[in-house]
Amino acid sequence: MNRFDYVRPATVSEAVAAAGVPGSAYLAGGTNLLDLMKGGIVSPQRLIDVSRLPGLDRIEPLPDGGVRIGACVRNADLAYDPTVSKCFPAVAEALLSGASAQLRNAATVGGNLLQRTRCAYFYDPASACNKRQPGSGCDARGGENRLYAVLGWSQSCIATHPSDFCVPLAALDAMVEIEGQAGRREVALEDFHLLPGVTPERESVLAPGELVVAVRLPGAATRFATHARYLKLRERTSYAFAVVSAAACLHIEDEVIAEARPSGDNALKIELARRIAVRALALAAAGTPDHVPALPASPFAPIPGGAPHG
Amino acid sequence: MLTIEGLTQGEALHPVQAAFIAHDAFQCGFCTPGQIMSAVGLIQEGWAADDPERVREGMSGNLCRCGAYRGITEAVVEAQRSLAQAERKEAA
Repeated sequence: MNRFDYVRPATVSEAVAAAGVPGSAYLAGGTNLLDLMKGGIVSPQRLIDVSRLPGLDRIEPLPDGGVRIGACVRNADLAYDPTVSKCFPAVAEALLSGASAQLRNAATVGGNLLQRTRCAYFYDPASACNKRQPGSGCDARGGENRLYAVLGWSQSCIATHPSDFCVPLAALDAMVEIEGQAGRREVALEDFHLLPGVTPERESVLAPGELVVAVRLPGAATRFATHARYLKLRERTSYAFAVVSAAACLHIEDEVIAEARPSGDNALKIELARRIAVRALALAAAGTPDHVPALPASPFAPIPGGAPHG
Repeated sequence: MLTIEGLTQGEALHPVQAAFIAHDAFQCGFCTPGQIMSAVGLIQEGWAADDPERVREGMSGNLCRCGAYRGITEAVVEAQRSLAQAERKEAA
């Protein structure tokens, strides 16, 4: 029996204070944390349930035309939000390409940023893993590792971050709002995650006890709304993590590409990623579809008005 | 909270249940309550309509180790059509 305390604070400041106790972990949707606990990969002594904190479940328009997305907004609610799907279609497409309907109903924005890697060696307590147990080594490097990092890896760790959502967020200059005992601060999404280096157990810039309270998409990012796509290559058609993925956001003025923002996931397999990025750019150039396609983010969907296969 | 136990109206099967039987959409039956409730949710949300590709994508979170996926997709498409038809009749 794995015993732990369960705390449900009433406010963000109470939550941050509660998380100051060593051995605490925040719980929101639980779609990753509960699996990790059941598998014995992590064993927090105290769960701080932030899923019902007031104000964190809102999607608010900003004066500059952007949106502020509360950390506890569920993936499905965000993807189907009319403003988000209209102004930031690549974000909606990325969200709908992740996991399954059930998981998207439970998983949250903050949890998506902070989910752990899907490296099989991290999930196997019998394997050496510097991320799970610093200093124990990395069995993935000499193991079954074709799904793991080819860029950004280190001798200590070749795991990747599995998020779809973060890929278009990086292309669109999203900001992460963080609350801690020292107050509030914000970090660009692009700077939020850390490369493994020699400390793969440290995955983000969050200090112990800090809480992600919101993600902000700037109004300026809406200039890409008419030509933005997310593309994801999976081992099966649905309900799988990416082998590689790419977001492509084009700002087109007078039939000229004024600005291009390609963004790849952390699992860049160089040649595959290049092909996926090229195809994502071709899809974005053809224009954002009126509705998210039947298979969001499928690399096999035809390019409207374009070549049948890229 | 609606579960499979609350789906029938008296003795009458819900259209999704009837479609699952008509299309042999199960073998061992272990996953069936979840499959049917997911299908009811998917039809209510109206995202998939009667497009088999969308139905497969929307139902992908429910695994069927007997491999009745073909029948499941057919059943959901048919149930969606019969429910839409019933709605049209009601509106007329």
